[in-house]
Amino acid sequence: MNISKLTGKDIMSAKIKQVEYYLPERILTNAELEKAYPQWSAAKLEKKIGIKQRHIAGPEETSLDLATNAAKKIFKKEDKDLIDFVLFCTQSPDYLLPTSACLLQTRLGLKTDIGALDFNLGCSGYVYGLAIAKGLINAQLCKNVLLVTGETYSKFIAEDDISNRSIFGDAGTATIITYSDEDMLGEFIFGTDGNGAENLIVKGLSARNSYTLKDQEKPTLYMNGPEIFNFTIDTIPPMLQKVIAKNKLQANDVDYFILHQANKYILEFLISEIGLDTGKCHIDMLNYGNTVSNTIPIALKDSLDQSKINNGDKVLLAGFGVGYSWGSTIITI
Amino acid sequence: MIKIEGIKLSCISCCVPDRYEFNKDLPDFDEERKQKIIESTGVVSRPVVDATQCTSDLVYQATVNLIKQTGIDPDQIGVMILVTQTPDYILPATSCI
Repeated sequence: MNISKLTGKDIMSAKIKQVEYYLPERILTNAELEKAYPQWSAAKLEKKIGIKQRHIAGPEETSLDLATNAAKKIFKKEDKDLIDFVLFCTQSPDYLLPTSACLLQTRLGLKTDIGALDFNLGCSGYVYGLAIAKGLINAQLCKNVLLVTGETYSKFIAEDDISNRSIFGDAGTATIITYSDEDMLGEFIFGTDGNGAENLIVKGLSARNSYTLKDQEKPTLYMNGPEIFNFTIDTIPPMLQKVIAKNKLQANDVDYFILHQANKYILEFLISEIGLDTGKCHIDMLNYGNTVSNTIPIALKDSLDQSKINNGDKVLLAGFGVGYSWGSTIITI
Repeated sequence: MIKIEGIKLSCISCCVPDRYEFNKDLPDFDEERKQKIIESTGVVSRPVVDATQCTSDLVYQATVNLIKQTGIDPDQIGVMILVTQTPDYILPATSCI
């Protein structure tokens, strides 16, 4: 081991430089849902899940389109030629292959001497993306990572599936993670338990089903809500304790908590279970719904714009869901 | 921050399906054409999954072999990365399964 090889200066650190998001134009309101399913009340729906409307991708609009539009917002301010790695988090890619990140490189006119890859994670995806970006930068494999998320779960949801239609919305986000003198992306906690795979799954048009679609017209999302709820309340409180301890902080040191915006009901349950200060916890999916891997970057951007978080603040991010997969970190703004 | 001096690739394990297809058995080609295909591609036979096998079955077997060969404690594995363009499902991720 040659210790002299490594000095403080050699070790690069990472920080989030910019975040942007894009929502499709079409909006599905609770009033429309009430019209389609008269036994549901728009007002009750909003009260329980904290969602009034969600944006839904058009028939020709894909996760790549949403992510591209989010990234274009970023490149109004940032030089796209500085990007030397693209990470694309999606579970609804345009194609089985090729990789959406490769298509995005051309769409955005990024350089060709860069790395690009997709990864398939849902609600935990943004945290994993930050971890991969931090790893790439700290290992000096690249300097400026474009991390995009894009989801169009609406394309997997059956017309008569009111509960999933009321929860999920489509969106795309883009984040630039860049090298920094100080480590602004803290320590991470990861978790995986494939025993929960069956509780949030798209079975149609899968290799496991020999790419057949039995009685369905299209691949369809199945979610076992109560099981996902149980998983969340069992797994997330200890994860938050662990990530705070791993970052050598106390719960009071955290200025703001951005948990995956699954729905208001589950977030309020979690916050009261853990005993967090509600004023320090982000709950806002009123106009977006649960946008899967997009919820955390959307919340981050909104919180920055509304000065809910400011320079120097410690912000805890936590993603959890499909897989099961979960992850958390604490970032410094 | 964890400081790591070096990284090494410590073991590789592979798994191919039991069933093979032979290019000499390709339908719809005459003998001469098949011979040409075999010569130009350099491929005599190819392992091919049956209808019940998926990506996760192949990587699972490769991983079991890897653990056996190296004697590594599975609890020492910190991250699993599964690279595929043919996942078991659209979602969830095959590495979680």
